[in-house]
Amino acid sequence: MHDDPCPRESEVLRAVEEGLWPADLRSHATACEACREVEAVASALREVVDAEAALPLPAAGDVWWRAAWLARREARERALKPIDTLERSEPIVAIVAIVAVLVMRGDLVLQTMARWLSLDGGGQALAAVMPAAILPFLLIGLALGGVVILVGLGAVMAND
Amino acid sequence: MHPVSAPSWPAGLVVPEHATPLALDEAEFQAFYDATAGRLRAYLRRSLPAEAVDDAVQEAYMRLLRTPHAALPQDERRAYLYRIAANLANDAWRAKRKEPQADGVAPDDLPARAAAAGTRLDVTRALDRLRVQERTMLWLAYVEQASHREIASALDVKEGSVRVLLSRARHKLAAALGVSR
Repeated sequence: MHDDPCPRESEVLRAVEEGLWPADLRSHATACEACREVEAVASALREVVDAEAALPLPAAGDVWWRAAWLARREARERALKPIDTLERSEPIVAIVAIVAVLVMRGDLVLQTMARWLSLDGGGQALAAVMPAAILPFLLIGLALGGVVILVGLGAVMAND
Repeated sequence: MHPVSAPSWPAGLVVPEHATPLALDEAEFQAFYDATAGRLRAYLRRSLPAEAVDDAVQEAYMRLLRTPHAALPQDERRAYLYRIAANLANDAWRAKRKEPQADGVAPDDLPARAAAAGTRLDVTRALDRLRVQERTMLWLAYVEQASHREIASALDVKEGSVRVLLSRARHKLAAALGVSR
C-alpha cells in the first residue's frame, strides 16, 4: 500500500458528486488504484447522504431557541455563583464567629451564664437537677445548636 | 397615598428585549444549519442508535452555539461542529462497550446498527468496521470536501499526518467494500 495521492482525485470526487464521467477520466479511474478507491469510498458515502436526504430534520429555529435558553440559564448561573457560594458559607461563618467570641471572651460568657443561673428561677431549677459546673457549657452547646439549625434552615430556604 | 407615576424613558432609547449570549444570530444559524444538518445527521447515523440520532444532531449544534467557535468562519465552524459530533460518537461507542451484549449476537446485527432506508447493508457494515476517527476523516474529506487543515482541526491531529491517515482509512473502507488495490 502507498499513501501517495493521485493528482486527479479531486476530478474523480467531482465526477462522483455530479454523476458525470468524461471518457478519459473514466478510463483513468479504472486504471489508477488510488482513484478507484476514491470512487468506491465517495460513492458509498454519497449513498449514505442521499438516503438521509428524504428524512425531515429538527427545525433550526427550535435548536437555536433551546441553545439561547440554555446559554441564558448558564449565564444566570455564572452570575449567581458568588451569591450561592456566600449563602453556602453562612453556617460556617456563623459557627466560626461564635467560636471566636467564646475563645476570646469565654470567661465573660461563663460568668454571665453563672449569674443568670443563680438569679433566674428557671436557672435555679436547672441547677438543682444538674451539676452547676456543667450547666453553662450545656447552655452554650444548646445555643450553638440553635444557631446551626437556624442558619441551616435559612440556607435551605434561600436555595428554594 | 401617593399615586405612582410610570417611569419616563429618554426618547430614542432602545432596550433589547431578548438579548442572547450566542455568537450567531438566528438567521445566520438557519443558513449554517440548512447547509450542514442533513450531512451531519447522516454522519451521526453511522455511530449512534437510530433513536438517538436526532437528539445528537441537536446536541451538537447546541454545544457549538454556546461556544465562541460559532463565530468562526464557516469552514472552521463546520470543522468544530464535526469535532463535537465525533466526541458524541466516541462517547456513544464507549458507553456501548460497557453494555453487556447477548451471546452470539455480532455488533453489526444489533438493531441499533440497522441501515438507514436506502443504504445498502454492505455499505453500512463496511462503514461500521471503521473507527470513529477514520469514519470522520473520510466523511470530512469526501462528503464535506474539507481541507487537510480543517480535518486536522476537527480531529485534533497534526495537519501533516492527515494525508497518511486519510489514505489508510480510505484503503480500509475500500477493502471492506470489496475494492482492493
